[in-house]
Amino acid sequence: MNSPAAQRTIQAVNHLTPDGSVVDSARALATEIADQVKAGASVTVDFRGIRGATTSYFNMLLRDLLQSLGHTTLEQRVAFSFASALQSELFDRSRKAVTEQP
Amino acid sequence: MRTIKVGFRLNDREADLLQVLRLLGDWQPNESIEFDLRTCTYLGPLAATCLATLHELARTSGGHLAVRLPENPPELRAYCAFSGLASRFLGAPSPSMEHPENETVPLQRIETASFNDSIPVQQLVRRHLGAAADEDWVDELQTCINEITQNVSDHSSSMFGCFLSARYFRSEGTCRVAIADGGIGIGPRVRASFPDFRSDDQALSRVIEGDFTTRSRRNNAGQGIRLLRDIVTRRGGELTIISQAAVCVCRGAAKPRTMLQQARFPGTVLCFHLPIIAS
Repeated sequence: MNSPAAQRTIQAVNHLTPDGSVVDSARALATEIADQVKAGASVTVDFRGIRGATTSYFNMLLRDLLQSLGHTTLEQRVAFSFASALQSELFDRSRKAVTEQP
Repeated sequence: MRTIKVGFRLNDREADLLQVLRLLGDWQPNESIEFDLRTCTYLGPLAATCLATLHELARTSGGHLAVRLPENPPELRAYCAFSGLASRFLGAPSPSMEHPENETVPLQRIETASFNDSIPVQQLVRRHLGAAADEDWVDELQTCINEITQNVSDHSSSMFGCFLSARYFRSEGTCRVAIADGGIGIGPRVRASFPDFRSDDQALSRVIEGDFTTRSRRNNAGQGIRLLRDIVTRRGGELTIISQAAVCVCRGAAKPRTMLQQARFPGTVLCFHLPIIAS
């Protein structure tokens, strides 16, 4: 019998780069998520504490995750928890855009 | 040295800046000019960022740009001090953000796109609104700023990044933010990749509609300027973009008004007014 996948929560705010670079922070977060998923975990990404997120932040995050995990694993093993309606809107716009422009 | 006299309100709207640009004419950054603003009756973030940009373009091109600032009325003199105009152009001491009468974010030079770019404006509104600041509104304000600085970083090819300035208007309940760069401009950038666009204003119109990108970087998906427009207009604010010879004004649910001007800004400036939401 397979043991259930470990459930991990990753705080996005803990993966901001020291200079606050939007793109580099997204890439650092994507790497952490991918590492946890590849180690067998299911992940919830919590965006509380992220202020002023942009479409570039979510575009970069999603493009890196799609490249490293693929669409199916991303859908099945990674969940996203947003701190505001705006973050949710940004994420939805980015997901639509990167899906249409891979 | 050529002197350009500006004796009118230089408000945070496109019409006033265009009037100055018409006076500027066919300016080259290696030219020496002086702006005489002593009889000007209003200055704001749009003027501050544009003057700083012109100054930086001149400084890096072997030219010289001097500015004579107004000394009256006292509120305008205070604005020149608090906005950083006096320190930049007259060698005055750097302004203190913490001064209780300071309702501005002094000129900030931004060279890379960072979450930190919007923090001074966040601090400005928190200092004035305190606990009454609506958190979602502050987040939207920061997103607007960060979207613009990301666009500058990704697309403008500006040699010095951009300048940001902001002002909090207690009486009218708005925050105004302007960000200007000395780069290639939105229209020319788009037309370099998509020659089918016949003019800069046509290209700018397309960018404003969203879902359109030159894909300069991997993080681009053509969403940023459209998101900025949506946030500002649904809050009842206004967004103005002047990029080289193209101008666009977005207000409410109306279709954005885009036009081509003879007057040209040597880069791109975006200015938005966001009505303050406080609990």
